[in-house]
Amino acid sequence: MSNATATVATRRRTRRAPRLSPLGWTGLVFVLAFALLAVVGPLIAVDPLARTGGPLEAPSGAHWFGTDNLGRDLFARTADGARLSLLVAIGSVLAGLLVAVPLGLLAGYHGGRWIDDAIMRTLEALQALPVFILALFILGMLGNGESQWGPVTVGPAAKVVLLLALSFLPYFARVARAATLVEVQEEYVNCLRVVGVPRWRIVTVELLPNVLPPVLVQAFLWVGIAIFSESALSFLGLGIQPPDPSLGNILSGATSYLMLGAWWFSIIPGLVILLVTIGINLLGDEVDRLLGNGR
Amino acid sequence: MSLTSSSFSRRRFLAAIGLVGAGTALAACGGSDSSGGAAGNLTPQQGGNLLIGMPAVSDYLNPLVATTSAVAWASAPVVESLYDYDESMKSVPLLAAGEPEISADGLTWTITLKEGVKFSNGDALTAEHVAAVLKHVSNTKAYSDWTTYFAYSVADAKATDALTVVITLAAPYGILRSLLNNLPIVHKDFIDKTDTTMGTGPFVVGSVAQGQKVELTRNAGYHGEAPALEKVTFTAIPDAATRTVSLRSGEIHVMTDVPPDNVALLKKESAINVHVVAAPISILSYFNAKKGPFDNVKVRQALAHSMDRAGVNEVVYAGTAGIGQGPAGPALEGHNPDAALYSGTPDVDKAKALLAEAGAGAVEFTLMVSSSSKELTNAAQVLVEGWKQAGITCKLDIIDGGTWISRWMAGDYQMAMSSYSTGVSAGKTAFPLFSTYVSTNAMNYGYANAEVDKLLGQAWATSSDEERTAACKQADALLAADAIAVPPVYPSLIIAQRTDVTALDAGQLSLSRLPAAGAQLMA
Repeated sequence: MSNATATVATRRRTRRAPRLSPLGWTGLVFVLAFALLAVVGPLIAVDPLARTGGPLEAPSGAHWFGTDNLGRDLFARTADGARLSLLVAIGSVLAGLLVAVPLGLLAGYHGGRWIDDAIMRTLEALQALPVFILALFILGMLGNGESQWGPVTVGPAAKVVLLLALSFLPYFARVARAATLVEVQEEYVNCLRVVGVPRWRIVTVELLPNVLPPVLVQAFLWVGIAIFSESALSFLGLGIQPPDPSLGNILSGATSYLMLGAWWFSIIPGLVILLVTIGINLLGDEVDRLLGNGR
Repeated sequence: MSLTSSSFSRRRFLAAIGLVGAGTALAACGGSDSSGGAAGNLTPQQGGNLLIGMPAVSDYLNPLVATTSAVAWASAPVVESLYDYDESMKSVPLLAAGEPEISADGLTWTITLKEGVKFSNGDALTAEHVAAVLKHVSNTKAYSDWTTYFAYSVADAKATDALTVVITLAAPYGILRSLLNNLPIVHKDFIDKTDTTMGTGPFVVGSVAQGQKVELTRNAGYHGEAPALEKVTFTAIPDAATRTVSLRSGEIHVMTDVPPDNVALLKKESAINVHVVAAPISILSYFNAKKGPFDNVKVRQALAHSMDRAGVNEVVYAGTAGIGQGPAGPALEGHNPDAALYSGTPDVDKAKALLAEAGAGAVEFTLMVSSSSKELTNAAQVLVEGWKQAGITCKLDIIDGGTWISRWMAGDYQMAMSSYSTGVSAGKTAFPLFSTYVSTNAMNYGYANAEVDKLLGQAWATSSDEERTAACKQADALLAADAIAVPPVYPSLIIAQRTDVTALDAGQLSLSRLPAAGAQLMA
């Protein structure tokens, strides 16, 4: 074996995983802590709706995060709220991707033509609406409780998922379109056209796998935004309704008790929202950095 | 700047952090107000501006439009009624010269007005103004909450001379005498105005910032004893915590709608008095008895027996409320103080036995609550957990006030709850509270009890307070036993004031009135 070949073989055997920066590790820790709280917390906590203590008890061995104004365990409610926030966030991002990626692919594949214009102008009009104004409008018409849409009962959580998915469409579609525009310029696409591969197969089998990575990075970042948005909607009374806990509606009920000295009631759920949002942002920046270095 | 340079030593850095931390701690400790002296060292003064903080200042200033506390409290110093309560809470003539003369058949009431009373613009109070007000509130098409009380009972009202009003009734309506304690007499040219009002009271409307602030100034031509205050200002401070801070710091003198869980904190302050008063504030429960599961009285009774009343009182109302039995609370005619039909804690065995008798199986229902009342929303959450113990599953439907009203009027609910403050319009009478349960009421969905109908008919027809009270008590007991009107608690009216203001009259507070006009600042 030549020296050059040996060097390459050595490098292959000893290639290391990308190293995270300190901020990346910080983000990862925050996100994992939130995931642990959301996934494991509800399994080990008491019933978040039951009154298991006195009102506004400080954190203790019996109630790790204290109790709320109705004597309910705040750890249980925060964990349940975190789980619900995470489910709503992931659901809204997935629902948004389900619609936005095909739209972005279609617009990018027909880049510059009327289909592209029609799709992107419509999405830009949607993007012009702030999400909270959109929420007020939609929930003002539908109400913030359960609604009957034909045979289907749509609850507050489902409404929030659909609302957030709608507001995310322009952003995901734009990323998908941009990635598609780049891929469509590649030689292999022309070759596929020349040999007679159907358009739908080019888009779904060839373009889609190459377009997905940047879209998924964006989607990951938007999970953090979705968690924050869901919390904000619930804080304003437009999202998850009591007695079901959500990080936002816990905070909403807690602010008036700061003056009574019940700092845990608002600080702890607020910290959870803050840390997961920061964590996802830091991780997203880290992924961006690593992908950029890899090219 | 380098951390190693001599101009920025580690020691200096730590000292700076320590100073900032100490400053922050001092600032945090500075929240408690001790600027008010003990009341014993203060004497009432003439003049001054009484500042009152309320959750909202009504967009309407005309007290004939709405019977909410917000509009009633802001307009009460400006308008007066034909009769009022004296210091011993006895109803006495105010704008009337004496008691009404009632015909033998009870259908014609003649009221003579007091001479020499003027509106604040100098116009004399005449029978024409009184008749105009009565005609307005008895017109079913009028934009007025008062039609609830007068529309189908007062057939006509006219001035037979400058000081005599003759009221013709459709049927005997003895309760009219009580209602005339509260009906504001407004200048006839102001009846249809919404943003202002004019009356014969000790104050006149000054500057108004709609929805934010109402300032009243002293009426120099007031026919009665001149008020000590120069001005009274009502300010909207929607957030309760901000109202509390404003009261503690002296930015306002009186705070209304004190959250029950703030009472203990405020009572610790030497500069603040807290009034916790039984008043005509009720929690109304509505069952749609036209459909399951509440078409069965035993299911309703099971629900009533498994209500966690003590939990609601302790956790939501911080012990300031009374345990509920029948619909009439302690400040209302018809209250049964010795009633003990339902226990404070859920009687799970009794509830399960009743469900078994009803053959109901697992009961599931939806409770519709308006999001506009934080206490009611919290009470509903406590009740849900109590009912769970008896195997009753309740899903909460917390909706905005407008949707609640639409669905309530349409009967689109299984159970609904709302809070209702009736003192400013009905005083001590239980008329607005009980009327919904009369079988012919359009808002009554499926409940009919002939005995209740008869008793309430007698109660509203009689002119005797004692007869009315007795009839209302019996109706209250029947409504409780039928479990059609089962409030968990009787909330109290909670008002906080600074001790550098004379104490607000407890008797007036017990009618849900805010006696701002008679207060004095002290120094």
